[in-house]
Amino acid sequence: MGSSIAQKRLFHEYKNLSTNPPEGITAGPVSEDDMFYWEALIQGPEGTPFEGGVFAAELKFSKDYPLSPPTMKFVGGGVWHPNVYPNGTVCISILHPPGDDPNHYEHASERWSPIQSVEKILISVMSMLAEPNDESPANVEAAKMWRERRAEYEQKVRDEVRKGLGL
Amino acid sequence: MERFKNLSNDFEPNLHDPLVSTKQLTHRIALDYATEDPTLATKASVLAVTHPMNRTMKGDGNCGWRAVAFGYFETLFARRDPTHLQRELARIKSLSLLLDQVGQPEHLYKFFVEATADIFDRTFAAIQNGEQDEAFLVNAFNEEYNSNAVLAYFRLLTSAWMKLNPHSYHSFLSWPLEQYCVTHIETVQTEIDEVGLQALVDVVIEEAGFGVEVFRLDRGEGDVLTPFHLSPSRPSGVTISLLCRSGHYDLLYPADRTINITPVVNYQYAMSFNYSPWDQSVLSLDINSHLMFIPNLTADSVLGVRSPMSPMASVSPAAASSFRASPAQGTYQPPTQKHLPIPSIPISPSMPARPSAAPPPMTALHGRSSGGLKIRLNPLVMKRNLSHSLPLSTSFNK
Repeated sequence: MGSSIAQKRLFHEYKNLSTNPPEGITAGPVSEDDMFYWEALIQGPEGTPFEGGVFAAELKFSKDYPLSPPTMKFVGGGVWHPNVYPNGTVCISILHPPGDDPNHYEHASERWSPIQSVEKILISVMSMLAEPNDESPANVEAAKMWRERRAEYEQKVRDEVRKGLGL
Repeated sequence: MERFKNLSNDFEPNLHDPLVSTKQLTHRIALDYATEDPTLATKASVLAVTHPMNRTMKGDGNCGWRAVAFGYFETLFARRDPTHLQRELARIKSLSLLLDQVGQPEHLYKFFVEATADIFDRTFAAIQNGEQDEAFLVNAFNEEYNSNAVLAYFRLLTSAWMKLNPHSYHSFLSWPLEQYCVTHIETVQTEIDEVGLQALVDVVIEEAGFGVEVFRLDRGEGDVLTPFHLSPSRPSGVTISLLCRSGHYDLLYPADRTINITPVVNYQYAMSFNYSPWDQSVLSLDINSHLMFIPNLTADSVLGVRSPMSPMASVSPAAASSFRASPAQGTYQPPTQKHLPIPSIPISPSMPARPSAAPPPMTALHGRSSGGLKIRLNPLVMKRNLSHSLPLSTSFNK
């Protein structure tokens, strides 16, 4: 029963996202044969060094979804950010249940709950791009640069974005 | 050091513990504490007298939620009232209106409502099929996804209820209520706290007509645990009892005071007839097996003594253990009462331990002596030292 609930729920979310997509976000299963593997495209938020970029990510859902969160990973590199591991894996609090706490978030930060959704995750990731969370760095070097040499950080992000667009 | 590191890396806490266990003896909790914490061990022993059985929940962050949810369905099943069950199903489904009121989109929560309705359906089927015990419910709650989906629904209901009734809760919180709901209630695998438990009982349990009480096994004063009632306005009726040990919740089951030992004892005789003839060489005594069908009449009470060869010696432990185990057969309606045609006769629970000392069987005997079976007891029967030489009147010997 578990995986069929997960499948139905993902199908509903996909339908909702495609009929009423939030600005700057596109997401859906790579193939309709496998509802548990999605691809998402996120536009870099305006007014940030990520502006103009389009970032591709993959989302992997477990059969326990939505009781367990999916994982999200930027593909193709190019996201220089304190909360994104060098391999692209996104590390934000709502993608973790409370028991699974690699980065010791504050107790108050929002965690995974079954009424989170793909849409909420992607919106959170967009705002994460705009406002890094310094308290739980996944990329320590990026975090240090963001904290201490902001101009250098922003330039590096812009360079990566241009590279990603093939410019 | 390397070894400890490996041990720590390999450690998988309670991986194989069921989410919901079968009933267990509360006495075992006392034994668990015996070496480490005599204070708690004493308290647990005292608790084991009033609540001989308990049911443990896996400590996965959902234990309190799961204990209440399981207790709720178990209590519904124990009542075996299909009408009440249907009414509750309709009520629990309609509570999803609360989620609409706080703006939760239906497509995100409807699967949890369906999973909860599924447990109702299984409970209904179990009642229809006349299932004896709650094993089906234990199985259902050990299917992790479904069981967690029910808890997810109860969490969402609790959260919505708190947001819609902030005045009842906000003064007990050290967080803004909205934030509390997101981080402490809605989040998966977050332990329930006292405020959350109260809200859960208020929204899900209260209207069902069940009470909820919590026994806290802690270092407070006294050996007797005083329960805290979460629905004090509800007259004492059917109550779900929780045991709380440093934030972990399990279920407790009180000793069933309505259980009657006597029919069980007679049942043994009636079913087996394998009592050993005692001192036949001396007495040339033939026990009339029909006698054994008389409620409350045991071989011992006929002889008025407890013979060392009496079958009672072997029956007693069985009777005693069925007394201990009886709550496992159904907390609120012991099924033994339904299946035994023998009328129940009030009798003290200490009866099986000292069968020869109790006068009621004799009284019952005299009342029946006018029937076809003539039994007249010689007063000497009551004298222990004569029991083997001259126990019965001649009429009995015919």
